[in-house]
Amino acid sequence: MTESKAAGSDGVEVSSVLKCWEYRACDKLGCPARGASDVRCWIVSRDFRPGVSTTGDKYLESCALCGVFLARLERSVGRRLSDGAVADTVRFLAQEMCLYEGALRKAYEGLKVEHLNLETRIHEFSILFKICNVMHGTMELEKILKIILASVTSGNALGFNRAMILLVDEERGVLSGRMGTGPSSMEEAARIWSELEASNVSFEAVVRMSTEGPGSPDDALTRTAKSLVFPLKPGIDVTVDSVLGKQPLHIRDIDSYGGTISQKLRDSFVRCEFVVVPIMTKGRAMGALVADNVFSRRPITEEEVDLLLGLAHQAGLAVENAAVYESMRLRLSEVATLQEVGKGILSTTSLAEVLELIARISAQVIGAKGSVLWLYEEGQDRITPGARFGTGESIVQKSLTELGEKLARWAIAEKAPVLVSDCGSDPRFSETEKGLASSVIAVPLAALGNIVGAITVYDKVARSDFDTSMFDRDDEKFLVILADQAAIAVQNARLFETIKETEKRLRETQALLLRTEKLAALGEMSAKVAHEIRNPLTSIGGFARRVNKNLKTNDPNRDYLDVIIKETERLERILNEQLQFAQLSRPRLQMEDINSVVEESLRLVSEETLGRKARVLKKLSMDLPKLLLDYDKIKQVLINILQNALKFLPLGGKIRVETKKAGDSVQVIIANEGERIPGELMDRLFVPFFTSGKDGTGLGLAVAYQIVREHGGEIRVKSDKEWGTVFCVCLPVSTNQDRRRTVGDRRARPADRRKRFQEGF
Amino acid sequence: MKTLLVVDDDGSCRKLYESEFSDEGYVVAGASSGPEALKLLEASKFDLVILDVKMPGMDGLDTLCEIMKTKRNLPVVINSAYGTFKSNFTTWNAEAYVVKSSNLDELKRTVRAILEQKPCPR
Repeated sequence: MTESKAAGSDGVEVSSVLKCWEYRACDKLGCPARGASDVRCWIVSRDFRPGVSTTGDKYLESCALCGVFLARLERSVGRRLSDGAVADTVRFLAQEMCLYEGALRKAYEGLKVEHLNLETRIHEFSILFKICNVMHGTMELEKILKIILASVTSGNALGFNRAMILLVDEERGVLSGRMGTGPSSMEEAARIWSELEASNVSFEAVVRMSTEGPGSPDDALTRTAKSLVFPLKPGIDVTVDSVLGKQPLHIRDIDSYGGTISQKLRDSFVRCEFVVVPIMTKGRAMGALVADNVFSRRPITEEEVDLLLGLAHQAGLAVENAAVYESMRLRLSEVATLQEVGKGILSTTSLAEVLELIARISAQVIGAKGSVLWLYEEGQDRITPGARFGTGESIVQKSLTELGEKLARWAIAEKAPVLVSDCGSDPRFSETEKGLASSVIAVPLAALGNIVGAITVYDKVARSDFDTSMFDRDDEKFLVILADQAAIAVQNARLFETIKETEKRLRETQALLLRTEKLAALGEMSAKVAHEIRNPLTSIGGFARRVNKNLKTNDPNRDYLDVIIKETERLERILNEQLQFAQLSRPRLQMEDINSVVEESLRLVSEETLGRKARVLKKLSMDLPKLLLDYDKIKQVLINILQNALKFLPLGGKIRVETKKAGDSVQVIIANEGERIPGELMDRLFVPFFTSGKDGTGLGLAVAYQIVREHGGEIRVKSDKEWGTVFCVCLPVSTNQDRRRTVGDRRARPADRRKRFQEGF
Repeated sequence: MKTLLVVDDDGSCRKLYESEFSDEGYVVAGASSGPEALKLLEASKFDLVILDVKMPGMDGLDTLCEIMKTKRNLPVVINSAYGTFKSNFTTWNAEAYVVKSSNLDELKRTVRAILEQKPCPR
């Protein structure tokens, strides 16, 4: 006899069941055997399996063999029992046992179901837990939506066939579809399932796969989802009803459903039993989750709906977190931007750069397609675009700029921001203007109470999933803060520009002063030298002439005296040139024809011109205004320049003399062929006593320069390929009609002069 | 015979003028400074004065002013190595202004013109 130790497939030991029976039978019959009989009750159990109907017979068999049992039975009855009686009793007992077994079995089955239920719950919770883990691990809405959909449709998560998410847009008061996932046909569904079964991927892997890549997925169901927009009003659609009622709606039969299923949803999604659960957080419905099993046709259980609701709840939290995170991120980026603006403004003082920066930032930060920064001059009521961002040159852009100007003027006139969220519904816009921009803001730039300009932005591009494509108060507020900074920057840059301009003028004046001072000192010195030399020269030359006069015509000493006289004359000429420089007195200004000065100068150098065999190309403009100038001095200038030109002209070369009007000045251009002047020499051309090494005192050009400066003009010089040197004397066309009379010709009217003197002049 | 007074601190110049103008037929006296010239003018009559400007001490301009105080009609020819004094209106009191040169032709022409054109009133 062997005990059965075999374990049932259910894990309950068969032997323990049998033992139970034995005690039960013995108890019932008052049999003391209780396993103590030679023939143990459970002998029958050798090949016993619970649920096999022969239990009773086997048991009978067993008891009939048990001597103790029989003896006990007979004693209790008080007589010997026939075999038949024994069999009856045993049969009765067997029936009892069967009933007991049934009850036990039932209890066991119950336990098993309960156990399974528990296991399912645990499984479900673990799925939910996994989903939550993954979902709360990201702050990106797109990703969260992808995770939700993957969780709903993944075979090792909720295992629906298809799912779709709609979110509430509070600003627009609508529920709009965002994303969907699921195969679009039975074939695709079968393929995906077989693939998944073969690869046996984990839930995490499915999530990872589904969240790969940026942006929303581009599948049929997502497109479908995005086409769905329902106003948040009851009776429009089952999804809206679920959101408004904040409860799941399980539609088993679409034809007998009492509520409304919009035609749009019917056309695009609904084909069989489906479920809608609201995505909730803190008692607020943020959207709805729709799911069905269109391909597998598996009925949706209440447990699944519960699970979906649990998931939707978590989804709500995650979506809200993402929204909060996104708004924080925007705030942070705004603060960072303001800091950038501040930094940018501090780092540059160039007005143009500041304007560019502000235009760019104002558009980028609030997500406008374009912006224009306007500068306003209060005194002249003039408004001009200072910088643009995003606006090009096309005609549409030009009209946009005009629209911008109109807006900027509004803002400047009202000294307050102008926000037009929806141009289409604003009566102040013409139809053309409505076509140009959908949403605009204009903000005036005010610094220290002065309006210095305005910023206009147009056409918003949503910066995130929570942003709208219309400007709102937040955008306006931000732009106002930016405008404050910008205004100060513009003001600063303008001031700086003025300072720079003033400084530049100061520098010029200083340079001029320095030069004048130097020249004055130089003049004084040279005059002194000239005087000191002139006296002895006068004596030397004078006496030489005297001696020469008294000598006989054929005296050989005459030649020597001639040398002395000539050299003295040369020295005196040089002194005259020096003194010319030193004696620069105030110009005697008259309205003169510059062409006649040119002609006269050319006449005076004609001898030298002939000497160099020079060809003079004259090109004198006939319609030049008369100029206020000192005829003699300007003549001197032209002669000096002409002489310089002739000096460097190759024999037989060309000289070009041209007069023309250029802007506010008249130019006399004197160019000569010849070698180019090196740059470093060019700088020193007008420095007194600077000479090229050829003969000359180095004063001719310095004198010319000084005279022209006194006339308020300038001399430019350049060297080019065609002409070795090009001098350009620029004289301003002066509106100054001042004709101060300076020293007159005293020898002409001596009597008058004396009279004036006598009268106490 | 016309009498000339040459006022110049430069001795050689003075000597040159004295000999040249004597050759021209004038009676020439010389003075080496302003005060000396004034003294000579006080003592005797002259028909014309040739006056240098840059002189140590009392310069030509001061001398000219002094001359004009007493002999308003005496012609004076300024003869300076400088041209700059032309713009100083004190020199307007002079009859002429000739810049010094070894060639005395201009000076001689000027002197002759003044003396011939206007017989000196006594």
